Amino acid sequence: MTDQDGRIVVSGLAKTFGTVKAVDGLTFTVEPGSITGFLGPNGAGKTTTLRMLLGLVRPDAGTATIGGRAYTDLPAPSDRVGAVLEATAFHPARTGRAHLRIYSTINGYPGTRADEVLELVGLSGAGRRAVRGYSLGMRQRLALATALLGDPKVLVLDEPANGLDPEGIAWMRRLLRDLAAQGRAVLVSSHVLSEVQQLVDHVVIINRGRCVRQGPLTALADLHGPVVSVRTPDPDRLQTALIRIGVDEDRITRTGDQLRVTGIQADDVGQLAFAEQIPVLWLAAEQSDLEQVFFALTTDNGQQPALTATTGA
Amino acid sequence: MRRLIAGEFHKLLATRLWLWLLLGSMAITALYTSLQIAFSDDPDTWTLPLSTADGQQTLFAAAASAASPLVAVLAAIGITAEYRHRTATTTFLATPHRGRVIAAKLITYGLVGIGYALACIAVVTAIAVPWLSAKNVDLSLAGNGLPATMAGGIAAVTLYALIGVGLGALLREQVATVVGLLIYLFVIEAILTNIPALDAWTRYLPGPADNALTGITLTNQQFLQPWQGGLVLTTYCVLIAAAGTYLANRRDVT
Repeated sequence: MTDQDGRIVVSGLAKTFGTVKAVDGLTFTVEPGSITGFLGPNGAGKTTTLRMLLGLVRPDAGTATIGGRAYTDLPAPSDRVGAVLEATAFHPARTGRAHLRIYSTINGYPGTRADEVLELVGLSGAGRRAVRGYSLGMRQRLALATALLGDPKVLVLDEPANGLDPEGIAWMRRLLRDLAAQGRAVLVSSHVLSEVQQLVDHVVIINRGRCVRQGPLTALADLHGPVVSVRTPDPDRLQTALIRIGVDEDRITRTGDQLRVTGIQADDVGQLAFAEQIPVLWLAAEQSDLEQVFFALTTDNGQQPALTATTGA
Repeated sequence: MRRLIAGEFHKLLATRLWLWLLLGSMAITALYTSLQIAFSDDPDTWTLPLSTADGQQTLFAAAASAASPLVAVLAAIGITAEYRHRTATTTFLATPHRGRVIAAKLITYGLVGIGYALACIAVVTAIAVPWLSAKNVDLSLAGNGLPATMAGGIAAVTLYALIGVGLGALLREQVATVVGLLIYLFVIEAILTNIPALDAWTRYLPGPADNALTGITLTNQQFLQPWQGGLVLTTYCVLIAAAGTYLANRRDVT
């Protein structure tokens, strides 16, 4: 398999349900060998996009390919692409193992494969129980096990962390990291950036069926610039001083004796306070608040021209 | 296709529904056979005496095709369960060409239909042969047109299984499909076929066509020739399965 096999290209994809434009001319690319977060608020069109990518929903316009081919044209698609689209899609009376054996049979995998993937997702002990007795977290694991049956090079996961407890989310992150380290392309959707922030290298952010941003996660952080928090007994003077050196007023948030300033380095705030002889009790450079960037990108009111531009594909 | 059919059998055997419906079919056959033989001397009955070839054919045909509605229900549940439990997503991910999935289900449930029909024929034989012999009625399984009747019964049950798959693909909604199927078979068709003035048309309905195919003779109803009945039933089957496959291919799986 070449790298080309894992590249996902979505081009001009559109889908309308009734009067609702679920996906509206969506274009993005996912490079192989990386974990890409597919982000957007609920109703942004993530699930519809993934279902069009996987040949389950017929697009009104545009194309979606994996390794240059539509999913429905892939020979033995389960060998190449594993997908988790919903965690509740099981016959309740079947055991987890029976579910996996059914899809092993259909795809022509050996009967032992079901037990292997059960082990891989930590469900060995529950394999012979009916799925109706599974927790949501166990169903997520079983859905992932189903996707892994064919040992695919590409994984497409729709909100895989839904219903998982913090331990489960940590487990899922570790597993996805391991899977990506083996050279797989992983496309994972979420409506909460923080859920996948520590996992993904790249992001594709969509809102109202359109791509508002795609690129490396680090570039997303740079959009917002640095953030500094400072505590001082005289916040009024510091605020005035900051505005005087050119910091926009709306980039300063004040809580009690603490100021939070975006778009400025901690060094500069420290120098300024020293020059103005304002005592500083505490000064810290914050990690960029990606959640706020995400929020700005996906809130229509908060749209700023600089943030809505899509980086070159 | 072999793998898909094996997968469908896996799905069917993973739960017990097939067994309960099989036992139900066999119980209905046993009940019908017993009542029919016990009251066969009643002069008001709509069936011919069991000493005649037509009478024996009717007994075997009706007993064998007792499985028809239950097989249709099993098949309809088998396909609509994919939508109800949302496994259709996984199934169509594994096999993006949905027509192949439906073809596999048609073959699987067709084979199941043959199995059900054979089980019901075994039941009617096990009851009728000793009982009629005790009543000094001459019964030869190889004679009186009974082989054709049994073959017709097997074909009829199989066609009902295929109709169940097609209808399920068409409607997708499990409760609507099963209830609709049962209401049609036991209410609508029962009403229509009880109006003699409509006889020229109602003989083309699935139930009367089934009766024609299996060689049932009733004194109060006229049926088509067996081959015509088979053709009519096959036509329903092909139309419903084709419409179901067409729509399954077109519809979004959301």
